[in-house]
This record gives sequence, structure tokens and C-alpha cells, in this order.
Amino acid sequence: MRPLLRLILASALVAMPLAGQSPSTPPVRTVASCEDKRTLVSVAEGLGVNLAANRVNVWVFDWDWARVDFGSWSRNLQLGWQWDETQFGVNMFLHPYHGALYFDAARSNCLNFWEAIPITFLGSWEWEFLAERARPSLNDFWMTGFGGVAMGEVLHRVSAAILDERATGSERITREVAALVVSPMNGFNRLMRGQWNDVGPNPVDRLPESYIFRTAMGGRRVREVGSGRRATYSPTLLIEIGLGDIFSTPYRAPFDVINALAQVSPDGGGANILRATGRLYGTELTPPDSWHRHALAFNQRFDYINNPVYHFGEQSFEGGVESRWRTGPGGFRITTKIAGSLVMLGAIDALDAGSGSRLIDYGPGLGAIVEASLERNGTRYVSFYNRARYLRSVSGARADHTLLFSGLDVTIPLSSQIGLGAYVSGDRRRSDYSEFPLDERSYVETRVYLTWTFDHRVPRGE
Amino acid sequence: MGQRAPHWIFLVALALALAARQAEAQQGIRSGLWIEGAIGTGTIRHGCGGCDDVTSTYGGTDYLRAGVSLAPRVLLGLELFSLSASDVALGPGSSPVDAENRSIAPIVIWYVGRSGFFLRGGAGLAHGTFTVPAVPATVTTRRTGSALIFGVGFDVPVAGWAALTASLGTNVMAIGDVSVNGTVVDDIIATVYEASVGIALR
Repeated sequence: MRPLLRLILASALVAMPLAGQSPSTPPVRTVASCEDKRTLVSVAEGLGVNLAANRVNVWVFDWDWARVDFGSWSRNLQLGWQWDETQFGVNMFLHPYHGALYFDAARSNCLNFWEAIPITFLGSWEWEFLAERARPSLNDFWMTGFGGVAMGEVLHRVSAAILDERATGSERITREVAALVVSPMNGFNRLMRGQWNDVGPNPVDRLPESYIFRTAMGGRRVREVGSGRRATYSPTLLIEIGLGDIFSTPYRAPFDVINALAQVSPDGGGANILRATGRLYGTELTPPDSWHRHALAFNQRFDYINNPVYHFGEQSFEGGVESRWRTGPGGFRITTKIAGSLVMLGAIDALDAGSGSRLIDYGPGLGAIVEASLERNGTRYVSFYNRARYLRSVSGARADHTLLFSGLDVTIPLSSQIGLGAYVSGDRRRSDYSEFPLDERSYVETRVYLTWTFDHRVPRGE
Repeated sequence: MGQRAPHWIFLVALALALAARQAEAQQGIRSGLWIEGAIGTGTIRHGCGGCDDVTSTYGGTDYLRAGVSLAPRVLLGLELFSLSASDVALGPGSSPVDAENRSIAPIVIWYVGRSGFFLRGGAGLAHGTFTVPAVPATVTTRRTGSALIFGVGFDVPVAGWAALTASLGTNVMAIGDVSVNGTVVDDIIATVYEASVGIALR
């Protein structure tokens, strides 16, 4: 709730000065350059975000946990980290979004990806030690920091693609407002600097021609195998955003290749999936004109899964080889990915265990990923994935959790942009507790949907 | 590796300062392949789930880092860190143990500006070995968890291929539950604050 409040607050602040402006009236100014890194402004904005959120929680919501004083600061600094008992959605989704605000404050003040990371962790540290009465939570710090970096860079780049410094009038305002919603701190900074009306060339990292947007809308059926519970049905919406392509985008900077996926199912748990993968580093192993191509990639990954059967989230790094195999005439090709993962901190619900009022186990782990898809001219006809995860709990019940996620997606193109799709996934978990009975569950999800794809990435006839 | 008196650190710091005067004109930022090793001293605090207080003690530290330059002022590397301490109380009522806390983590080093000052951060795995000295036999418990690393440092070039490095940092190690003499200490988080000096080859 806290990040959402901040979004609303920022939007309100933005709306006030905007009311007095006319979108098409001069003066037209040139776009301010982003050569001067405003590190101190970034730090101050992170502090301002925390101060505003803390005061809203005190003055508006009267939360006792937000009534900090010198005594709470002293106690927190003296005692240090602990694990908190907050529930899954707050810890694994809202905290990363909170971190994304710090990160985007830094990015919109001209700091690069690496430089924005310390600003993000500093903002998270301030919040944990100084903005809450409770002892600082290590899992919150972790999720806010790493999740904020992954989510923040995705939002920053999507926001940059929405903005167009050459646009004027109503189109310009529409773009600025949309970008503000995606990246509130960037929108806020642009407004404060008077950049909403500035006209000039676009920055080099604005790459709208490198994006793919894929949406899917349809129905979803969810069933826990062997539980005796009935299957549930709900409408579902998926949005997938891709930036760049590992084979056509030579490595230039972190997150120059992104894949992000969100699934929302009204009456089906709300936000079911939020996933973002960004390339931290990569290099091609074969010449670009090879018939079959292979590339090495190291990615940062953010995962949030919230379905009726289990909750799972993680901050991880993955490294592996992606390959593109041409299959002969017709332009078909098979793309494969084999990778290993280091899970820095993962979270999984532990329904009959947990810690205090919190029913989540936290721990590091390892993983493996195998993916394959059949594509032609940017259209994905068939895709398959198999992801395995092992988590060893360091907070919560003493347990070893093993998860296996598998899925098959088939799309039949109806036109160049519209398709009919079907998806089936089977997820399994095995939780081996020291002090509780073994917990094994399986979960099957089926979707049928219409897709709409808008793809600029792959040159036709490649 | 036992406890070390920190006084020699000040002597090395003095040497660093003297070396700095002679190396003013040299570039302080590592590039290409690099490796760095150091020893130092630190304090370790153990907190646990449901504990109202933390325990604290001192110990000797060492680390080895190696990696490559990712961008002109950004290094990517792997860090192996260790702290040893004796007579550590992990929680209220638990027997004193000899603790060996280690971590292995990918790290990123970012040079701020053109000086040799850098920020350091990383995340990886932590491992704790806790030994209860007992007669006639000792009992050892091992646990693996997550590590989170932050710090600052300064490279003082002493040659084109070498630099003396001073480093301050914190290493947060989430170890989990540890059983000592039948008493389970819940959800242990060990926080290390360390100061080290060493040599970087680049």
C-alpha cells in the first residue's frame, strides 16, 4: 500500500502545476542534457520519498509502526537486522516497487544503471532503519534493493520508450502522463525541470523500435491436483514486453535486452505473475552470419507468482547459453535456452509451518532453466519451458523446497498481429520440513486466449 | 586464523599514505583482469528470531577477490570472505562456540570519480561453522544461507600493476537455525563489520 500511496501523491503533485499549462503554448525550450549526474539530488529524492511515505502513514492512516523517534532509531541501529512477519504480497511485490522509485529517482537524475544501485539500497536502508519503529527487516531490504533494481530499470526503459521529446500538443501531454504512470519519479523530475514542454532530439537509449508488446486476453482454469477441490475459472489478461534481442542487440549496457511478463486475473487472485529478466552482460559465441547462432548471457531475474495453490517469489541471477537454430526454408527457426540460476533470496509459502504470523519461508537456492520455442518472422508458434528451483530455508520452518515449473504454449496466427492461443502448465512443489509432514502439491493451469502482438524487433525475412 | 590485534593496520595505513604520495600521477582504477587479497579485523553481531538483544565479538578477517573490468569504472568479480571468532554466544542461553563465518559472492565494484575510491556490493552464499569445544569431543554444526555485502575502499597505486587497497565493509549473513548442544537458535543473522588492508594486482 505504501508505494501506491506514493504514486497517488506524486500524481497529485504533478497535476497541480500542469493545470496552469497549455500543452501547445510556447515557449518551446530545448531538452536538457543528461550529462550532469545529480547524485545528491537522487539521494535527497530517496529521502523525500521515505519522508513523505512515513508522514502519510502517520497523519493519514495513524499507523503506530510509522511513529518513529530517536528511541526507535537508536534501538534499530543497535540491534540490526531481523526477519519480519509481513505477508507475501507486501514483501514480494510492493517492496520491489518501493525500490523501483529510488532506482528511477537516480536514473532520472542521469545516473547510469550501476550508479543507481547504491542509491536504491541507501533508500531501502533509510526506510528500514529510520522510517519504521520495528527492527529493520533483512528480507525487505533484500527485496526492495534487488527487486527495485530489476523493476526500476524495466520501468525506466519503458518510460523512455513512451516519451517522445519531438512531440508537441496533446500527444506530448498524453505521452508524459503515461510515462509518469509507468515511472513516477521520472515524470516528477521532468515536470519539476520543466521538461514536459521541451522539444528536441530523443536520448540515445530511447528505443521504441526495439520493443515487442504482446497481450493476451481470455479464460483461465486452475486446479490443484489431488486436493479434492474444484477447479476455478476466471478471465485473465497477460502483458508481455520485450526490449531488444540477444542476437540482434550487441551488448552495450545492463538491461539492453529485457523480457517482462505480467498476468492479472480478476476473481482469480488478482496479480498472478510478475516476471522481469534483464541482460546484465552477454556476448555472442558465433559469427553473426552463422546458420546456427549461440550467445552467452547473464541475466538478473525477478519473479513473483501468486496463484490459488502456492506463492513463490525470488531475486536471482541466471547465466547460460541461448541458441537460434535455423530449420531450413520458410524462415522457421528454433530458439533454445539452457541456464543455471543462483537464487539470492527466494520466498515460498509454508502453509502449515512459517514463522509466527508469517506463512512464508525465505532462503537462498539454485535453479535450472530449459526453454525452447519455434518462431517464424517474429511470431512464436510453440514454446516450452521447464524451470527447476531448490530453496533452503534460512527463515521460517527448517525446510528444503523443490519446485518444478513446466509449460507449453501454442499460438495459431489469424493475421500478422492477431492469434489464437492455448497454454497449459503443470507446476509441482515438494517441501521437506524438519518438524512438519512432507508437503507435496501439484497445480495445473490452462488458458485459452486471443493474442495481439506488436513487434518491431525482428527484421522480416531474417 | 585466530583473533588479530588491529594495531598493525595503522602501520599499513601509514605505508599506504606514504605510497600515495609517490603514486600521485598513476591511475588508481583497475582495468582488465585483477586479483586482490587482504587481511584485517572485524566485529560480528549475531541476532536471532525472537531475541531481544544481539551478541557481539571481534575476530580476524581475510578475503580474496578476483574479476574483470566490465566498463571503464565498473568491475565484476567474485569475493571469498572469512571471519573467525572465539567464544561467540549465538543467542540467549546458548553455549559459547568458535565461529567461522564465510561467504562467496559475485560483487560489483564501482569507482566514484577518477580517484581510487570505490563502492562495493554483492550477494551470494554464506556458510557458518560453529564448534562447541567440549571434552572429550567437539561438536560442530554447519549451516548455509544468504550473504549480502556492502563496502567502500580505496586503491593506492604503488606500481603500474599493483595497488595497496584499504577496505571497509559490512557482510550480512543469513544463516538460519543453528542447533548448539541441543538448543536451537532460530533464524540467525550474522552481521560483520570489517576493516582490511591488502594488495590488488591488475
